[in-house]
Amino acid sequence: MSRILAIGVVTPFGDDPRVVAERVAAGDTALAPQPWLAQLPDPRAAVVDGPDLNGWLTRKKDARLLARAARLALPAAGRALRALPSEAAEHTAIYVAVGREPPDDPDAEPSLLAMERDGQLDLALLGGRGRELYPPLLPLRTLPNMVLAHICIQHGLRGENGTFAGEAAAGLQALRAACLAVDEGRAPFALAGASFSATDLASARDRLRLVAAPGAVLELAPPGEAAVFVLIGPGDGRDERSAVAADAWTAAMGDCGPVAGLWGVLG
Amino acid sequence: MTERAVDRRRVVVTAMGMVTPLAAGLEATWAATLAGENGVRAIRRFDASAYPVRFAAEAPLKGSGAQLKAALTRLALDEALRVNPPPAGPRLGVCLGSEAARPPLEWLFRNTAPERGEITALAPDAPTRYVVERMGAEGPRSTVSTACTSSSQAIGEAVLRIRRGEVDAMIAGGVDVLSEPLMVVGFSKLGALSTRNDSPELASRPFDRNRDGFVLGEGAGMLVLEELESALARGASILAEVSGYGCSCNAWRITDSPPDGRGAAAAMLEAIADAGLTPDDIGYINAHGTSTPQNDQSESQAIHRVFGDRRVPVSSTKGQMGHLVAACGAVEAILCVLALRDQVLPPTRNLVEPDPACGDLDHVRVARPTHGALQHTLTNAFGFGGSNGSLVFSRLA
Repeated sequence: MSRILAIGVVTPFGDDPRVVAERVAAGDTALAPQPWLAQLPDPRAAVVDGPDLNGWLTRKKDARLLARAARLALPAAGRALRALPSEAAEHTAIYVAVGREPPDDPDAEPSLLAMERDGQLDLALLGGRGRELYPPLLPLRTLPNMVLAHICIQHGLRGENGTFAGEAAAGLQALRAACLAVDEGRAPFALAGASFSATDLASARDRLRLVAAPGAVLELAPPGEAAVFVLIGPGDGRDERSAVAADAWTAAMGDCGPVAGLWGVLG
Repeated sequence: MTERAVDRRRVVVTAMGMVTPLAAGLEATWAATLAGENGVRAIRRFDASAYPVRFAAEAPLKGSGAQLKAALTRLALDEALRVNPPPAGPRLGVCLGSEAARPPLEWLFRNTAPERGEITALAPDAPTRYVVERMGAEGPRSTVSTACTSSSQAIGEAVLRIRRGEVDAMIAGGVDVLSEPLMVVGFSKLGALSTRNDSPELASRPFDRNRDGFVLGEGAGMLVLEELESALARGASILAEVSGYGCSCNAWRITDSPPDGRGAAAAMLEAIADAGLTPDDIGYINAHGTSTPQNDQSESQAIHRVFGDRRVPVSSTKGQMGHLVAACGAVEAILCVLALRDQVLPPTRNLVEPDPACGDLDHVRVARPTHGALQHTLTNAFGFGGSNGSLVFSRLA
């Protein structure tokens, strides 16, 4: 039976899991109006201050490869992995959950806007001027498995792995897969986690489209961002923790996709 | 067979369906693959005349984006369900490899909000939700988004669930749509695409000395996986056994893979061991073989690491159909099952001059009959970011 050995978090309430748990349980909220969302009907979002990547990124120039979700994930995963024996990294498994939104990146906006001719879409402009403006490394930032890839590179994790996406329960699927990798003897340790950010203007605007769509049935909380990672290892499975419901997280932190479900289990 | 592979529930393939740039349908795609036909042509979906790359391996269907993805999923599933589909209910699950579809670029200049369903259709789990609803699958479901390794890992995840007894059957597979303006711009800016605009039919040439990048492809592959005894009890046809699954991470660099191929080798060795086999048992490798200079060399080194001096027949069917990314693991798994069924190995198209940097591999350059000797096949899928997945398929002993 596997057990949780360590937790690492990066949230708008800080990076101490105990403090985060207490503030979520107390009903605090991190949602606040954000100046870059001022043009939206609801400018609130729950935003992480930072994160500071100092110490979490071996090669500083790799920062240009990191989308926001990966920036949040690196410190959270790094803290959880402090409990990992260094000799175990080679066979340690990793399962990560990412959000359901289409990958987006504000840096693509100049390229996309270059397609406009008299208010209409002109694809030929994208192939020319738009391509010139397109950041060359952008495809590598927006692929959903990049959170996993960056963590593996930073920490030398080479075991079985996978990125679950799209489902509200993706965080739990990642946690389950990691536990089974340990329980079934395929990995001595496993890292499980989720990372999510939808607080930039482009993502927030897309989400509002979803809510505003005619006949829309979805109700979304204001956007949030966070990363939660746990290190799973062998153990007796007795680990008493108080449960904090995922909806309490969302009330405090906004919509963080798969992170909320994972937090609901960890409490 | 080693101890590891005995005493566990065995997983078999009982039905399959696929749509590829070569054809809409399994048998037509297989015939075209064996004949070394070409699925790479000038882009028809949009006016690409101003783009640096003006060709792709487009699926033979109309539509684009999420709509095309849904159509590909539906067609491949239709084919897989044509005969004796598995029963609905809690013992049936779904696991697909898929990535989010991009919003249509027209939305940027549209004043009206998207209609209900237009945005949710973009989500990576949209194909999974469709299959779940269509099948009445009440068992576990998940969506794997690990770039080019997605559907290989989805099949692996499905196999593990059946082995554990969580379900008796899983629909596993993958789907992707890549011939889109932003994909062409993004991957060409990255320098990953072939630029042979004057001869697209020669552009995808895995392991060839003159390869210059991969070709964006698209399609879908669906497999019905079942526990052996359960499948036999309900009279399903057994096409092959999914005998092994291995998965690893390079932990090397985002943009390329280690030249010595160690991560890929680890996935292959894991899959072979999981099948209870040794490398000597493998009779054919369907390589990831993207046609990029770096991947093919690294994968070749991995093959040499695993198989040593033994020259196992190798081919990459991306020469015929380009790179299907999230769908490639499923489609190439299906090709491996068909190779076992028909005892013939599919060739690598456009492999004229094998790259010496890839070492001495036994390249299959025209379809090669195996005269009943082929027992086990191995298929590889390696993703951007360093995730590797390998699957072993076996004739049912």
